[in-house]
Order: sequence, then C-alpha cells, then structure tokens
Amino acid sequence: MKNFGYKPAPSRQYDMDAISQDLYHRLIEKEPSALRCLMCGACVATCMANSINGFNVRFCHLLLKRGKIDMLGKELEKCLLCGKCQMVCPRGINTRSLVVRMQEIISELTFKHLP
Amino acid sequence: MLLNENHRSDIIVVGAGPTGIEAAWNLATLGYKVEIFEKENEIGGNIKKVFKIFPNFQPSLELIHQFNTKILHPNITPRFNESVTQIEKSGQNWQVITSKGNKYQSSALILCSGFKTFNPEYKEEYGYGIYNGVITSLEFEGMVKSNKIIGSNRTSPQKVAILNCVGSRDAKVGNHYCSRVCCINAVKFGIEIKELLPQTEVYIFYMDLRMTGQFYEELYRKSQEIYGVNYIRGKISEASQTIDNRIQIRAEDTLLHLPMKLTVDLLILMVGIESSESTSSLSKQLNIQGEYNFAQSRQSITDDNATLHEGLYLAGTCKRPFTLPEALSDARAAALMTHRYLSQRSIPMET
Repeated sequence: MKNFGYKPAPSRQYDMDAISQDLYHRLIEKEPSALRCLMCGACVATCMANSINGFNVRFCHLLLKRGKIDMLGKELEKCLLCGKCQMVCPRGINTRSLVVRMQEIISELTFKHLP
Repeated sequence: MLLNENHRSDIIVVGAGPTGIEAAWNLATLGYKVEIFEKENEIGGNIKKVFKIFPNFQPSLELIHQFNTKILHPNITPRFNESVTQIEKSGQNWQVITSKGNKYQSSALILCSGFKTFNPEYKEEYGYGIYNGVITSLEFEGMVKSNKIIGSNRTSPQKVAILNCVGSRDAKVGNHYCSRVCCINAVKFGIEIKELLPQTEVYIFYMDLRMTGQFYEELYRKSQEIYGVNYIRGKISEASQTIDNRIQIRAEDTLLHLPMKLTVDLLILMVGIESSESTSSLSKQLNIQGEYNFAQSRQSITDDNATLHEGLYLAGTCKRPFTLPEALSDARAAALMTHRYLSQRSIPMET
C-alpha cells in the first residue's frame, strides 16, 4: 500500500458496549460512597495538586467508571493525599480513600502476574 | 333558545382531571352547585396514564379512588363525554356550548383543561414510531403497570436508556421551557426498572437534573447509591437500529469530553408537557392565551388564578407545567378566589 506519510486519525468515539465495569465494581466494594458522586468538581476546585500538576480526582473516578485505565496509574500518582477534597464534597464521599483504592486497584492489575 | 333550568349552575368547571375535581369538590362543600365537564367517559385526565406517583410511589389508582369519591358530592353534576367547545360571556354570566350542542350557564367558570404530552415523532432522530424499542414515558408507565418490561426483541431488556428533555428546553420544537416533572420521573423509572429487573443496566441521559421538589434529591441519591442507576451528562443526538434489532444511541459523555455509542434494548423518551388542545383553543377564544399556547393568568406571581375576565379563573396545568401537589394546591386557590368572587357579587343573578 502506498505510504502517504499520514493515515486517518482513529475515532475518538468510545464504545460503551465494549467497556468493562469490573474494576469500577471492585472500587464500589472497597469504597461504596463513590456511588454518590455527582461529578460537581468541588474536589478539583479545591485541590492543591490540581493547580500544580493537573491532578483531577473527578476525572480519574470517571475514567475508571468508564473502564479507561491506560493513563490512570500515572495520573493517580499526582495526588498529595492531603484530603482537602473530602472537606468540600457535598455528597460526603471519602475522596482520599477513593484515590487510595483506585491506586490499589491499578497496582493489583500491574503486579498481578507476580507471585 | 330558552335555557333549560337544569343547565344553570353557580360554577362550571372545565375538565375532570385532579385539578378540576379538587376545585369542584372544594366549592361543592361550600354549598355551590358545580357542573363539571369532561371530554372522556371517566375522571382522572392524565393521571390515569400514570402507574405510581413520584416521589413516594403511591399508586395512582388510590388517588383516582379518592377523586371518584369526591365527585359523588351531591352538589356536583359531572357531565362525561361532553367537551366544552365554546365559552362566552352572556350578560353577567358565563355561557358554554358543548360538543353535544347544549348550552349551559353559570356565574363563574374555572378552566382546568390541563396538558398533553409532546409527540416525539417530531424529533425523528430518536426513531420513535420507526424502531421497536423506542417508547415514550407514558408507554413505559403502561409496561410497569402490567409488570412486564419488554425491549425491542420482545424480551426483558438488558440495557435501558432513558432520555430527558424530549420536547422541552428545545428550540428546535419551539418549546424553550422546562417541563419540570420529567427529571424526577426518570429517577422513578430507574428505580422501577431496577426493582423489576435487578440485572438490567439503566442509563439516564440528562442535560441538567432538576430535583426541585421535596424528597426528589433524596430519591436521586437513593437511585445512585442503592440501585446503581447510571447517570450520563449528555443529550442523545440520534438513535438507530442495529442488525440484531437493538437500538444504538450516540451521545457525548460531556464530563469525559468524549463522544460515545451505546447499544440498548429499550430507549425511553421523557416527553415534555405541552398545552392540551382544549387549553389552546379555549384560551385563544377567551383572548387569554399566553406563551406556548398555555392560558395566562392576570399576574403570574401575585394573582395567578384570576384572568382579565371577571368570574373566569384558571387552575393547574392549563397555565404551565405543574407537579400533581402543585396543581392540587392551585385548584384549592382557584376555588377560594371563585368563592370570594361569588360571595362579593352584589348584582343579583339574571335568569
């Protein structure tokens, strides 16, 4: 095939039928308060890390919910675990625990082949 | 034409839905003779099409039974299968002409002609009336009533999508207003589906969730926390049929900044509230038509039941979308205004 030096961009559309919510269900088992999330973003607005390194706990939560975990491990490392987000959450979600549980789930995935 | 003596009353109420009956019954208990006109052969209006009332899941049949008791009040004369086609002022009185060609007169008149739901065939991108498995919220109420939710393949659905704001907040169909009841109704549907079919995934697509009433927000939270209903912020742009006869929908997951597609077995369109045919035509005749063909009161904040005409009052969803308790309160308010008007009227009635 002739090489034009470029190719069609892959579609940005994601297929909800293809995604797996298994990881999200595991998160809910560990931290059930996550179910209450309204996606209001108060946690991100108050976040110390967000203004420096762009850490976004709401978005990380949503990525896991939609099964899009490619970049999640790296993103979750940006959290300072200060817990300020927990104080502003209108639905009383334990957001710091949420971050730690997501980190746990991602590391379980990464290291599950190890003894 | 000489008016039959039986065709005279103190008050005429147009419409025997919850609002009409509540207004009529309140006035009847004060001793007024009330005549109530209904185009159908039974009471209830739109409430008949609903199975359970939000937010407390009270069966609508219970309410209909209560209204059936109220309409038996000896001062109320119900006239079924007789719709009001014309309303005019005749001296000090109001005169109505009905579909049966009869003339009736009264001293005061309350318009409770209600609403109809938006016809989603106008939003053809959702494929209502084209694909099996795309239904309106009222058709879904029927499914819950018969205890059997069926998807496009005539089987129990594995995935259900519910779309808010069909025919409301939509400039394309000329309805800029919010219908107010659909958000909480969608939450109610989510819970009803999860109770009947716990394995089914429910996705509610919304632009905003307007949980304005008492216990609405609590019910929304319960649907997330206990029932695990999925809420996706984004309006469905189109629905199409897959080769295995399911419904594929496209939307933007606006919180994720990504377009998405999803295949479901049932797509429920939460159709908005529009002014009914009677509301449109009667308010036009009476020269009190406001925006979106609803009837307009004299002043929507401080004088919401009176109109530009003396002795003509409005109640309920002929003015704008209302929830059921709001419509009933409004009916009682209209009844009080009518009572005050009739008790202060100094001129003796003409006969």
